[in-house]
Amino acid sequence: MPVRVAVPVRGGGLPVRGLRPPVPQVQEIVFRNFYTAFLSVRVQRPGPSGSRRWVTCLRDYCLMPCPHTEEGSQDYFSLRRHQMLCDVDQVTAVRFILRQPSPVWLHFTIEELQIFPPGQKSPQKDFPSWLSQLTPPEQPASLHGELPDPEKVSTEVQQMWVLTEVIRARQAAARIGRFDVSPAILLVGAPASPHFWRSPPGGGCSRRDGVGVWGGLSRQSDGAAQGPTVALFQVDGCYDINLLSYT
Amino acid sequence: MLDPDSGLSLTIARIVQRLKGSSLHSQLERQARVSLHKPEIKLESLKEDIKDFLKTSGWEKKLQNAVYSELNVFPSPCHPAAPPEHMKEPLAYMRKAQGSWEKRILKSLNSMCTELSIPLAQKRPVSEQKELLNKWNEMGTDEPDLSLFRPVYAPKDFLEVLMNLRNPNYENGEQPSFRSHLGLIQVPLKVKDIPELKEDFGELGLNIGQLGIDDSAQVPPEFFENEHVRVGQKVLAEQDSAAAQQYVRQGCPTALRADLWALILNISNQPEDILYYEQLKSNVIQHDLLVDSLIYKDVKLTASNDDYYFVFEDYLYQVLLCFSRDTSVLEHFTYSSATPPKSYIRGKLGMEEYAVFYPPNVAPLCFLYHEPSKLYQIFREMYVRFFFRLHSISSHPSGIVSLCLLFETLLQTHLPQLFYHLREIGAQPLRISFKWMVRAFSGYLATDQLLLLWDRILGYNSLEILAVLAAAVFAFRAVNLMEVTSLAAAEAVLADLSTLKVMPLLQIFLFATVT
Repeated sequence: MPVRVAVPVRGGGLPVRGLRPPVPQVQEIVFRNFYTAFLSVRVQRPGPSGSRRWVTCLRDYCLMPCPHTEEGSQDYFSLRRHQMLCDVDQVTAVRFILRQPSPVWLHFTIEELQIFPPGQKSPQKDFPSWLSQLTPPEQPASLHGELPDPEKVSTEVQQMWVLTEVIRARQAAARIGRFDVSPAILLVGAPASPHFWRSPPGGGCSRRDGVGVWGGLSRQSDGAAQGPTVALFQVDGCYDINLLSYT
Repeated sequence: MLDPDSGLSLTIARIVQRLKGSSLHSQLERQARVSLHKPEIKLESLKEDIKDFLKTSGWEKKLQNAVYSELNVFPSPCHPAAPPEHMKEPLAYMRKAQGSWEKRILKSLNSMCTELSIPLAQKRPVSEQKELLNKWNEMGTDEPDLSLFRPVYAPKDFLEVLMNLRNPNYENGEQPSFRSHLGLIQVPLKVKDIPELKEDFGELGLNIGQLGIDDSAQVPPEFFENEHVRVGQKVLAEQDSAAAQQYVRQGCPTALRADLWALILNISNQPEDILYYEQLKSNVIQHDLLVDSLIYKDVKLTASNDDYYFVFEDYLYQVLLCFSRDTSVLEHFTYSSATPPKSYIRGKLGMEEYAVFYPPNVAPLCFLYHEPSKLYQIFREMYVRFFFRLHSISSHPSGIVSLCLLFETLLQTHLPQLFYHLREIGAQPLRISFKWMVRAFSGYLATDQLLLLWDRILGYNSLEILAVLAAAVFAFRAVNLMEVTSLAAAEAVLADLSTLKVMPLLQIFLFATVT
């Protein structure tokens, strides 16, 4: 899956990609935190008159209850549809806004980001199979003569095939549905600081009182007929925000 | 984080999985089958009747206790995407530090082996096995030559490691600033402050009766003690773990303590437990581990010289030698940041794993339990629930790093002058209190006071009370400490804790200090 690395545009806006066909709903976003205190998520959706608007679907979700201390700093998080403020159907772009008000951390970012559309279970989420064997006597033995639904089986097989194709096509040793978001943004700190405008090569956000914006993960159309399960995203751009200043 | 529904299902799934193969499960099945012969069980309402039977015969309670025990011991399930090492310890740099510490210990052990030309593990010759079996109950009379063995590490070595722990993503500048900590611990873990501790340790409040305070000679027993003992007997009759845990927060009457602790730790002396102990004993007899000599030496140096514990020397050997071979202890490594090193028996391809640990605190338990197998089980359960956290590097709130930070923070916040003074004279308070906390005060307090303290550890399922007590001791001796001018003098002031009364100190520090 191609990932385009965007060049930071200082003080500028976000380069806008052309219109794209809408992507199916977002079911779950899974990521690993790295010292981000609060997360906001905005999605871009088609508006009533065909234009696209940005809508906030998660506002200041707390990842670290006490930003000066380690609690929650390297934990894994899941954001599900029902936690979002708005409908996340027909999403064309997703924007993650990371905030870390504490000045004691050198870098903050989120890692191992995965976005799952509905119908595809997040990989490790199925419960052990014996759990369904716990109350066997109550289930009537109704499957004896019945064959499983062919439609369902074929969709599942299709999904598996698409996933394996995607794995093969990718060079990085990353899991299905993982989107490499590289350097995006940055952050801002007290203007007096010499590192004010620095954007770190390794990605993520650095330095104080940061607000980091990951510009857009927007869907790229690549022509191939894709099943409902795989959506490809690419990093769109990033920009600096100066929200806080100590001068 | 998991949202509540899937979190609950995962917890249930995990507990069921753990209990599925246990002896409790087979006992429940057996009971259910036996109950089929009873007249009150009808075929139409089989399931309900069996459930009622299990309830009335007390088996449901046993199951409840087992579930409660699992909930207490294992951490809440983390995110399904999290790898297993994340469950052991979420912070990567702490995992790394624990790994290097273990390597260091292992290297030290290995070099000791090479120096003394003793293998880490070897099979005992048959004659030696017979001899050991005969002497099993009086191993203390043995006087092997242990002069060449040195301890693998001392508390101060471990403290050095903890002092040098740094988060690479933290602003560890050279200049002192508001970011650097004034104490020895420099990692920014979340620790509680006194208002939060007051809330957590609510049952230690001034208006609530405590054993250790309200059972002293001057207080008539009708006020508190008699009633408390009555309630304790009732709790034991009900055999309810959760109720017992709540009860011991106010202290345990001496006569009931052994049974109450066994109830809280969910230890029942089943035949298979006794068998397990016998099996461990036979492992000890057949194989000789290097660790055994270290244990001997440690026991000889500490407990045998102690006025209170020397009588238990033989018990200590029996328990500790078995413990070093107990592979079921390894289960706790799934939630401990430590990883057990492996040792191979010379000449055999078999793997015998053992945990390298800082000799833990068995001696006080000998006062309570007299049969070796029960003593062993209690000790093992206490180790895998609490004491292992004192010997490994982790970010857990009851881990030794958090306890040290909690101690230093409490002292700085509430006794700033004392803290500053001690720091100026080169006597960082943690240097003195570390050895108390890492041994859970065993060997420093009088035994009855120690057992009252451990009642609270069990009751609150946390070791934070150790840090609070350490700070309270400093507060108590603050006047003397303000006058000392060196680390040695400070240590002398705090050398003897055997006359201290634990509960009044804790109460005053938490609830009666003007801030």
